[in-house]
Amino acid sequence: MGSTGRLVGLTLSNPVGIIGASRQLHFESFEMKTWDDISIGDCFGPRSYRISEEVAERFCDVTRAKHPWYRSDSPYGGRLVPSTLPSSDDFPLMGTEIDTGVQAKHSMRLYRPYRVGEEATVEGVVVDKYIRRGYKYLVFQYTLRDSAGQLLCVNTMTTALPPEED
Amino acid sequence: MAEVDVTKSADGAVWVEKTTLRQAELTEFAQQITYRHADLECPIRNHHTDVELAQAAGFPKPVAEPLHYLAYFDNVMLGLYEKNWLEHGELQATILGPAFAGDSIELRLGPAEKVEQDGSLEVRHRLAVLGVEGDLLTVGYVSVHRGEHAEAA
Repeated sequence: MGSTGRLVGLTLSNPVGIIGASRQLHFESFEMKTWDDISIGDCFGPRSYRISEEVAERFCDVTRAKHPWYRSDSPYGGRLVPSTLPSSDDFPLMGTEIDTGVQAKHSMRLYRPYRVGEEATVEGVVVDKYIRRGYKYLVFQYTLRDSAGQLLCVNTMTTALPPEED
Repeated sequence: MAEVDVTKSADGAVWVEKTTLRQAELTEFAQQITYRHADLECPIRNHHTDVELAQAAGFPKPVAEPLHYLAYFDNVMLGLYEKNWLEHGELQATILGPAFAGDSIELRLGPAEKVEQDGSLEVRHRLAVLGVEGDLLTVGYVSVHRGEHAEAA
């Protein structure tokens, strides 16, 4: 069973969650799922997108990336998307649906660089959930592939919801 | 030679950077995460961008996304290993505590260590991010699994 949240403009209305709540942006009202509603094996996506020159440029600016392969051109036939940019793909996949809590761990595995303007598709699956010291952990793995299905990168994010106050 | 432990000291680290997490950067990073998928045109307000909302969530100040400063390690590894990083790279991070807007943090990357795991060779650098009081915010490692750099390590 979910809990109903409401956003005023883009203001956070549910301050309990960190990652999840921070990324609930779309709707005036929505039915949020809770940790208890999610099962291991639950799938999210697929979702396809392209990273524009403008987005790549802004991401490089804010993360202070200076390498020419991220800034202009590369031996891979074009400018590359910074490797950690798709690491936040948990947001479009599940961030608007689930209050996942604070980020506890992050894993990123790279297989092939992703070019600016190239179409890619991400999909994710809940690979684990557990309770430890009262915290509710969720392990979400999301995989990015190019249009031919070739693996680009795999990210695994572990989030934790703190114990509820009495 | 004494073992280098970047969680305890910067001595022996191959890369150290002290930087301040400016609010404008936290806001821009939060907007990047959402804008690129949601095509939003209005400013985002959340606990990464707004003091009141951060306090409502139990924090003294807006909180940095760990992925924001972890991107700095990607930049360093690309400079060190180029194609080998992009095709065989791995990052593993455990977040121990929050970094806030205006905080000065220190990022450290340890020296290359050769590690054999699951029958394959990898070159690994331990990483650490420390907060204002020298407290550990994030620990983990970045590694390259195959390629000439792993063989040469």
